Order: sequence, then C-alpha cells, then structure tokens
Amino acid sequence: MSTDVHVSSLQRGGRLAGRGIGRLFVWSWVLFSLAMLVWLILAAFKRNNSVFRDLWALPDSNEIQNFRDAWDLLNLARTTLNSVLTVGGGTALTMAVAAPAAYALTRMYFRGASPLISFFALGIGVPVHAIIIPLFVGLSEVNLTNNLWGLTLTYMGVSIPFAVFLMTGFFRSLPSELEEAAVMEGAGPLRVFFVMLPLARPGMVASALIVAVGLWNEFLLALVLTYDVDKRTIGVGLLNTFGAMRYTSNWVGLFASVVIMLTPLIILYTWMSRRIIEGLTVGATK
Amino acid sequence: MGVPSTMDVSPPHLRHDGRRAGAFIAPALAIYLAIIMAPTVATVWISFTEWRGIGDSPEFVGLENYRHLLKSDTFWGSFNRTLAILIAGGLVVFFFSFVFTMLLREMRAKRFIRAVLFFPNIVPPVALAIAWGVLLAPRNGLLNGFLEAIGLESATRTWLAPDLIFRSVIAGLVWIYTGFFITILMAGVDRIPKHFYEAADLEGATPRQKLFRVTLPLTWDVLSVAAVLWVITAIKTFEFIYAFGGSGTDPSISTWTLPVQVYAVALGNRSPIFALGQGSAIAVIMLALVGVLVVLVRRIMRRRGVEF
Amino acid sequence: MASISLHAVTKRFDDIGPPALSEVDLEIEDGEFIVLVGPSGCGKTTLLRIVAGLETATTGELLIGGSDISGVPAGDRNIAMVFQNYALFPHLTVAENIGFGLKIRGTSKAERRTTVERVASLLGLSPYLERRPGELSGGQRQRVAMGRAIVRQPAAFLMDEPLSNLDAKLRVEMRAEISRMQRRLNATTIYVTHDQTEAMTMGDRVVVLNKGVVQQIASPADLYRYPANAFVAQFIGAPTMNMLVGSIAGGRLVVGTAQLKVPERFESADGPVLVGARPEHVHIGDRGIGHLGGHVVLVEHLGKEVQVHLEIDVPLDIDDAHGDASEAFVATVDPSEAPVEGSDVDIVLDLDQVHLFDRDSGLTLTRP
Repeated sequence: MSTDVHVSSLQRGGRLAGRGIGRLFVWSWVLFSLAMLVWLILAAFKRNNSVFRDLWALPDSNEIQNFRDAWDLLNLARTTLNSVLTVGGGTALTMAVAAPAAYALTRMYFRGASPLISFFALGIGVPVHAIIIPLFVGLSEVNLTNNLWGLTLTYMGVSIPFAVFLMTGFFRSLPSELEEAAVMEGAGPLRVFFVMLPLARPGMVASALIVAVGLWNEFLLALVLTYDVDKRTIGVGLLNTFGAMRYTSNWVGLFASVVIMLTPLIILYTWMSRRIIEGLTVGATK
Repeated sequence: MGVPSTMDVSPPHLRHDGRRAGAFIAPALAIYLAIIMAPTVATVWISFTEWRGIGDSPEFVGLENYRHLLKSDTFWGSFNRTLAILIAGGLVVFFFSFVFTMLLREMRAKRFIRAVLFFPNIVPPVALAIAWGVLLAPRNGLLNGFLEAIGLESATRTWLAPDLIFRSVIAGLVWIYTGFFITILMAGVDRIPKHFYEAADLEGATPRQKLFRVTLPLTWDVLSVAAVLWVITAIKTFEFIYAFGGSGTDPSISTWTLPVQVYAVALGNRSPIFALGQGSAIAVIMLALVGVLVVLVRRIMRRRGVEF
Repeated sequence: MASISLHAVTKRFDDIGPPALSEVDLEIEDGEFIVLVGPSGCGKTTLLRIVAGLETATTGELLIGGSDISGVPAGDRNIAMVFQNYALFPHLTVAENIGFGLKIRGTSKAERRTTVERVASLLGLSPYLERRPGELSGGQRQRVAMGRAIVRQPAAFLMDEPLSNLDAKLRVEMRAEISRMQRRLNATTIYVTHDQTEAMTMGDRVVVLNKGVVQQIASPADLYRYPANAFVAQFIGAPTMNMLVGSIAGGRLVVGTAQLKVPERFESADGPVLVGARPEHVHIGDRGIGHLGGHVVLVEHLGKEVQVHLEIDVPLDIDDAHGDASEAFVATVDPSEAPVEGSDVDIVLDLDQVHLFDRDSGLTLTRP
C-alpha cells in the first residue's frame, strides 16, 4: 500500500514537472511571437545604419522619415485605395452572394442541395496558383486584366467557396421554428430569408472578417492580374518593396512598410480576435 | 417530440422546386464557376498542350508535359519538398498543436495565448517572410545574435544557406500554422462537457487515460477536419515560401515547392519562360494530390462520430 | 373562426415501417378546443403540422371552413401557430413580433399599432412593447407568442406544447389563461401536449393518439369513465389504471386464484381478458374476505390520500405507454385505512367500476 502511494506521488511529481516545462515552452513561444512583432515595430523607428548593430536597443530617434519613405515606396496613397476598393468591394459582394446561397443550400431543402454544398466546398481545395494561368487568359479575353473590377470579381470567386462553406454551418445551426413561424405568418421566401439573416449575423461578421483579412494579405492574384503601377494593391507594394531591398538595403523603410500594413490588422485583431477565431472554428466543429 | 425534424428532412413549406433556391444560389454559383471551376477545367486541358500564352496558339502534345516532368529533377525536388511540408511539417504542427491544446486547457491565460499564437495567420505572408528573414539572417540576424549573446556561438548557423533554407521554411510554416490548428483543436476540446472529465477523475483516470479515453474519441471529428485542412494548407501554401525563399524576387530552386514551381515556370516575374502547358501539368498534379489525399484522410479517419 | 375536418389523413415519412399517421378522421367544430395527446412519437405534432401546412399529408383530405386546403401554402391558410419554444424573432421588439403577420399582410402602420396595442393590453404586455424577446421572462415570451397568434384573428389556433418550457407554477397559471382566452375569443384551437393534466383540464374534446392511430376521441370525462381500449385506459389517469390478466369462463371472471362474479354489463363476454381497475377502485380489506392476496411494498402518504404499492401474485399487463415493468399494483386509500409496509393484505376490486378489455385487441368489452 505505502509503496503504491509513494510511486503515485512520484509520478505526480514528474507530471507536475512535465507540465511546468510545458507551460514554460508555451510562454516562450508566446514571448517569441510578441518579441518579433515588437522588434519590427521598434526597428521601423530606427536608423538604417544602426538597426542591426544593437538589436534590442530602443530607437534613439523617432525616424518618422522611415514612414515617409515607406509611404513613397509603397505608393501608399494609391495602393491603400486600391486595396480598400478591391478588398472592401470583394468582401461586401462576396457576402452579398454567399449569404443567400448558403441560406438556400441549407434551408430550402431542394433536391441537389447537398451535392451542391460539396461542390462549393471543393473550391476550398483548389489552389489559386494552380488555375491562375487560364484565369489570367480568360480575364484578359474580356478585358478584365489590369483592371480593379476584374480583381474584385476574382476576389469574389476565390472567397465564395470558403464563405459559403462557413455560412452554411451557421445557417444550419439556426432553429427551424423561427422559419416556420415566419411562414405561418405568411412570409414569402425572400422575407423569410431576411428574417433569418440577422440571426446569422455572428457568422456573417466572422466570415466577412476572415474573407477581408485573407484578401488584404493576398498578393499573388494582384501581382498577376494587374501590372500598372497605379493598379497595385498594398500586398504587391510590400512585395515589391521587399524585392527592391536587394538594391536599396533600406531595411528600416521596409520595416516601416510592414508596420503600416500591419496597423489596421492589429487594430482589427485586438478588437475582434475572438470573433475571427471563433468564427473560423465554427466551420470546423459544426 | 422532434419526430418531424429528424425523420423528414424536407418540410414542404420550405421545400422548393429548386427554381426559387436557384435564384438565391445563382449569383454565387455563376461567379464560382467562372472564376474557379472554368479555369480548373481549362488547366487540365492546357496541361496537354504546349503554349506560351496569349498570342501563341496552344499545340496539343498529349502527355508530353507529364512525361517531361516525371524525368525532371526540378519537379521531383518540388514534389518532395511539398511532401516534406505535408508530412514532416504536419507531424510537428500536430504534435505542438496537441500538446499546446492540452496544456492550454488548464492555463488561465488561454484566450490571450491563443490569440497571440493565432496572430501570424492574419499577418500578410510577405510580412511574415520579412520577419522570418530578419530572424534568420546570417549576419545581424536575431537568432544568431541571440545565440551569441548567451554564449552559444557554436550553435550559430547560416540558416539561409542552400542546405538549411528549406528547413527554415518548414520551421516558419510551423510557427505560422501551429496557432491555427491549436485554435481548431481547442474548439473541439472546449466542446467536451466538463462532467466527462469529472467523471473520469472520480474513477481515478490518469491524464493519459483521459487523453485516450475521453479527449481523443470526442474530438475525433474535429481532428479529421483539421487533418483535411492541413492537407489543403500544406499543398497550397505559396506566399510565405515565395517571399521568404526569394526575398521578394523569384526564390531559389532549393526552396521550390509545387505551387512555387507552377508560378515560376508559368508566370515568374523576372525571367518568365511562360511554359504554360508545363505549369498547368504541375497544377493538375497538385490538384490530384489534394483530391487523393483528402479522400484518403477522410477514409482513414472516418469513424462513427460521437454525439454528445 | 372555422371548423376543421380531417378525412383519412395518412402520413408516411419513409416507405419502410408503419406510417407516422394512419387514416386519421377528425371533425373539429367551430370554436372547439381540441387537445391532441399521446406519448412521445405518437404523431400528434405531425398531425398539427399537417393542419398548419408545415407538412403535407401523404393521402387524405383536409378542410378548413368546409373548403379543401390541402394545396394551400401554410401562409395562406389563415391559421396561427404557437410553437413549443415560442419562435419569437430575437431581433424584433415585442410590438414588431406581434405585428409581424399584419405587416406582411400590408396592414397600415397606424392600424397595426392600434391592433398590436389592444392585443398587448389584453395579454398584459403593454409595458414591454419596445423590449426584445431576450429581455423577457419565459411567461412573458409565451404571452408574446400568444399575442402574435391572436392579433390577426385567424381561422384557427394551433399550439404545440406551448407550456412545456415553463416552470410548474407558471404552467398552471398559463393553462387557465389560455383556456380563458380561448373561450373569450371563441377560437377553434388544436392543442398538442403529452401532459394528460393539460389534456383533461383544457380540452372540450381530447384525441388520444398512439403510434399514429387515433385511439379515442371524447370529452375528458368520457375518456376517463369510458376508455375505448386498454391503451387509453392506462394513458389517462394518474396513478395509472392497474391492469390484470384474467379470463372469463363459465360465467366467472378468473383472476389468479380468485373466481369473481362477472358484472352484469359484461355478461356476454367470454375468453381471455384484461381487468382494469383504477387505484381508487381498489380497496384493501381484512384477510379472508378479499379477492386477491397482496404484499405491501411501499406506502406513500400524499395528505388527503395514501398510495399503496402492492406485489400481487397475478400477472400484470404492463402497457407500453408507461412501460415500466417494476411498476407495482397501486391502490389509493383513505389515510385511516393505510396498511403497514411489509404486511400482507387482501385486495378487493370494486367490480362495479372495473373495466374489461379483450386481451387480444385491447378493445373495451363495456357496452355503453
């Protein structure tokens, strides 16, 4: 008996030690990620000749000039506008078509709904770069390359599968009584949809956020489908700045560019991270 | 009483002949078909041709592109690296995700930690590549600087040298995606009602028993979704590798994966060779890989889902 | 308000197994309060949803106010429904919820407001008109659901277990209130419940359903006094009617070792039977004069009466509605006559009150 107790307390000790090490590891990882972010932000305020000399020194001057450089490097006025237009437009239009589609697929009970859902989900597995060649050719046939409308349309296309997939999960989880109550009161399909829509708002918000973040960060489509300098999005601008680094070695300007691009994301994230995270996981768990 | 809802999946008041539903679905479907599905079909067709793009007329060459690829070391290099991300990267990502999820379950700051770990997933991959590059830069890099500072000069490496750079890529992907899969696994674990664990505690179950008897069986469906997502993510991942491997220009061949090669062969921006047929053939192989692996994973992981 | 008729309504959800509803005939008069009652899965909700138009009957005919409405969509049937969990629109205020149907029908804003206010004051909801359902108590939500139903003066009300989400006290209050409201509006109402107390207290007539088949349609009093078959006999009444296996042979009713006189009203009966005796029709007597011997397992004092659980040496017929084989034979007696737990007693059946059922078909042998 006593040996049993002894052994189990030893085991418990080992377990606690293991957990302690585990927690230490978790916190190091967290610290590491935060340190990277903090370093980048600090570096954006440093001078190019000193930024790598003393890695963890605080900036000795406020190099706002870095941000002015970045502004020019990124052609920020223009690229931001382009990104806002294409990402904002793409997200809004995606939601406008994906919400009714997801609603009809889950709640209209027509023959073929279930294979259609699978057909939409199939699109999640199609890598954009795998189809970008004919996409480019096709869009250029209808004069939609090097064109923000064309990019917006493409953004819709690549976002629709995931948005539909995510929102079918949300619509499916809604109680059918509400729908039936609306039908009993004489509501037609369109009005029933608009009754149900507010109930799916958490799902709509999460889907829209995820779609918007994905598009904001996207650069491949923008890179391939547009080529004029004034059609560039902020993602392409950043990539070009990064590429130009080989020749300019303007590191701090690059860091300032990254910080500029990250700022709206960080604000959005601190404000709505739970919505984004939970929204994303609904699709996986429902 | 839920008899009607469980037995009859199509209540007549909501059952439509498809025409009404069609009006709801048509816009999304049309755009999806035009932007994703039509190019997918076209890709398959182009992969049987030799074509240098607009202005050139595609010439049908049958399986020539595929034959060429199978003999190409570059292709097999990309292919193997893609598999390396999928399998080696996958093992590491899932190991960390699982351990972290278990640890986080009992940590008070779990929401904060999860939010921090997830953060790289909303950061532009280019920015991540820049940060990762700064970290691993041979001279002046944060990592080597850190190792020197703690007296481990012998551990410093030229992380971006051809022999190490791809491992650095995988490490970066692990750093990015672990947070994503922790989030998904946590969602599955959080769904498990506490009383199962309380009951297990009362029965004197060890942590390992709780893991294998409670947690795993009850998160199995979430795990299977996570596995499918990993397959898609691992094969699709492009931006980070592209930007990190080439510092904003075309990446060196030693970091190519299938998607990078598609881009480089077909559209690469500095020295485009516009081998659209060959690029499409790689794309088709990628699509097939995704398709086969998703089906495979689903088949392996299919097991009766547990309702609770 | 209108009458509702169902003729041979059958509903199949799939091709295998028995139908969810089979050949239901029901005539509901204008202004009548009909309760559908039965165990879980008996088809009562399906029947209600067919009337509502939320399901279609596989075969059969459905008339409201004399006209066939089988093909009429739910929204055009002029029927209102109160759902089990109320189905209030969470993003709309109480006023908007109540006025939802009026709005859809294009009633003018001013008229809508006065109508909604009138209904709200009727239900005591006036102070809450601008609140949302989430800010209301369960009872208030229930009232809003009622309000939404009555506001457009439909041809009939359908209620699907509307009280099942309320606590016991509120349930009793709302029960009375719904009954009162129904009489006042003289509204044809179909009310689904699994609770026999609700069925007995609220309905003008009660329809007992089991496995998709109508067992009996009768007033609550008749249902209790003259159950048409063994199922109804055991479904209605608490505690459940005791059901003993017996037979009639040679003019004697044989139950276990007891040979009893066959009551006059069953004289033509013969063969294997079930003997049903409600607990209040079972008496506990002194040894030697009873019909059956029994062993007292449990004595429950309920105040004005005592329930005595007995083990007896006669096979019991345990019905599948309650289906609990451990259920003992129960007698309800006056506290002064309560036996001691563990004692052996004699049991006397009140032969003037017992029911006899055919053992094969379960049908009553009583000739009313």
